[in-house]
Amino acid sequence: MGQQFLLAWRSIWRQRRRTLITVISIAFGLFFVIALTTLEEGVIRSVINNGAEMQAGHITIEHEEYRLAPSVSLVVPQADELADELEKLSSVEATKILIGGEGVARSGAGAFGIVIAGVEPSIERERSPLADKIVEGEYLDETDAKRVVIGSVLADRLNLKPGKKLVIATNDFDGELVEQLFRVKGIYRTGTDEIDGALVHMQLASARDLFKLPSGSATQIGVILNDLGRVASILPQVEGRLADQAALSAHPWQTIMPGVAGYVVVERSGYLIMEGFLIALVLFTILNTLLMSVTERKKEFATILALGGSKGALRLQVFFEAALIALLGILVGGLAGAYLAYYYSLEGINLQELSGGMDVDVAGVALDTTIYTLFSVPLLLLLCGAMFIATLILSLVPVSRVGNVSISTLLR
Amino acid sequence: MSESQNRAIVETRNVTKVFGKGDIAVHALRGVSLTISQGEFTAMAGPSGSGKSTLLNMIGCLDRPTSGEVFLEGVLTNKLSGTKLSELRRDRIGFVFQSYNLVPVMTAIENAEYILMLQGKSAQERRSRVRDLFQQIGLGGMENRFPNQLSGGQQQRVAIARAVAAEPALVLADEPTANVDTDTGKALMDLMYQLNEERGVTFLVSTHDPTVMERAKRLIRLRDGQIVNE
Ligand SMILES: Nc1ncnc2c1ncn2[C@@H]1O[C@H](COP(=O)(O)OP(=O)(O)O)[C@@H](O)[C@H]1O
Ligand SMILES: [Mg+2]
Repeated sequence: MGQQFLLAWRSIWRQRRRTLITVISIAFGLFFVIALTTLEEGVIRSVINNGAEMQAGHITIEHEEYRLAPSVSLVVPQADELADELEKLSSVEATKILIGGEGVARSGAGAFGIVIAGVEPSIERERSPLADKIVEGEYLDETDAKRVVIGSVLADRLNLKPGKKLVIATNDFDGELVEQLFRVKGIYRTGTDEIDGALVHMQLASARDLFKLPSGSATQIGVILNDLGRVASILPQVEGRLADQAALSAHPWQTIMPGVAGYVVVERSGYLIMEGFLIALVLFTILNTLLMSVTERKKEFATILALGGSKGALRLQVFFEAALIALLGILVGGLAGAYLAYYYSLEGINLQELSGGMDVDVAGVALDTTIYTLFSVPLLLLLCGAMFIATLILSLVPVSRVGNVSISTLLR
Repeated sequence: MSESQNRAIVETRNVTKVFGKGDIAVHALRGVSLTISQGEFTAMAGPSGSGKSTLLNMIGCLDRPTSGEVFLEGVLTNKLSGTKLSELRRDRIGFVFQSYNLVPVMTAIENAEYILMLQGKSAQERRSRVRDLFQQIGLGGMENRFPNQLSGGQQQRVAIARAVAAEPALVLADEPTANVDTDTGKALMDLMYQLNEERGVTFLVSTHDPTVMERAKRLIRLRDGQIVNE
């Protein structure tokens, strides 16, 4: 076996140029796959996390009927206490208590339908991309009773500036029509009209007061995890905490943000198909090289068989040759790709600068302008391993042909 | 002559070989009967296409005859399995090819040791057997060169070393001097005679080369797949 390995190593370097070209094509292919995968997964992670932080967490707890017919009458009682308890779970980074409802905002300039979000300002300040996108005035504070932050589109429509007043009308917990006066504290702009024209943030207590919710209740609790990958394992634990409250249910982000979930599927399939083509191309190159090298050496193999050498030993040698070429390519491409992924996972890439202005939102979630690649060792190992195994499987074609030589034509 | 020198290494009985079928059938051998005894140096001459290589293929267990029998050291080889034939070639026959056929990724000494390696001999034993041989055949200092760093004559010397290193019953050489110049060819023949005389190696050498035929102790002439005179 050591002998076959040595011969394999020498054999691949007898065709130095061809080996280098093959190694480079594997390296380049893998590098590209790593670059694309870590970037795309970075974008996907960013969209999901942004959505989760801006909306209702990676896991959302709400009244079991809320999904089908959202209404402020369907609440999570004692939301504050439940949230405190959920925060003790491992992998839970934070919880956000939300009151969501619909209403109409009115000023002297007109009236427009809005989406009301009662939030905890301290948490939003820290996490929500909205708080970073204030263009006029300021975001909310814990003490800001009866104040709102609105989007730039709504501000234009209602002709509002920070400090100006507006009236918000809605139906309360009991279904009664109510209206209250609010003052604009800040104006944000995400760049997405559907958000900027509709979403209105107010402090949780103000929302409770507006909707006349029972004290301590809310329409949703969002659970934010420190690792997107833990959703599936944490969800049952969260459900466990709800066991004594039959009317509540917990949903993963895919249920709460179906648009984002759909986007993830489309985006992932898109890049995987592209990578599939690239890998197929690289594998074709490898197959070609290996077959060529076996065909060229028919006489060498025939000599060995004539002298009494075994087909098995020859097959092992050709297998080692393929493995060595693959390993070299994967080493080069893998290290280069890993470095790239690592670098941009720290530095980030300004996608808008890069593409000259791409979509700023995905399924209603504002996209970060700076994307951090997903640097994950298991992911990198998976990509490298897949490439290696694909090459080894491919090498079975030339390996199987090693024995197809005629020893009776050696003497002529 | 001692008894051992008369021992038949090869015996062919009425061996024929037909390539192809019907109209395109080529009768490469038309009933060859031949005995080669231990220690002999036999040259086989004949024009191109007369069946020299085909006969060597039959004797060397690289191909099977269409009819007739081939005995190697008394064993009928026609019906042996591929694996058995492979072992027989490894252990009992040395091959020298017209175009050397060294393994390009092995050094000169690794090529010469190759059969011993296949036989599972230890590295130490291999070295000790081949080192002297290398000196004897004028390859001292060339041990670690690869075939492409050797001249044609040197490569053929390595091939001869490979063929005799494991002390086979018989060495088959198919036009071993055809690819080298006259002087080199003569030197290679000298080497084979020397190995025949000093080590008692049995040789069967096919050739075009008149100088080889002159010097051979025994000469077989082949024409149209038949032995025409001895
Ligand atoms: N594999 C083969 N298929 C068909 N014909 C062959 C094959 N090998 C040899 N022959 C034919 O058999 C005859 C003898 O060939 P060969 O033994 O190579 O002659 P020599 O070695 O004396 O030149 C030739 O006519 C040759 O064309
Ligand atoms: Mg011939």
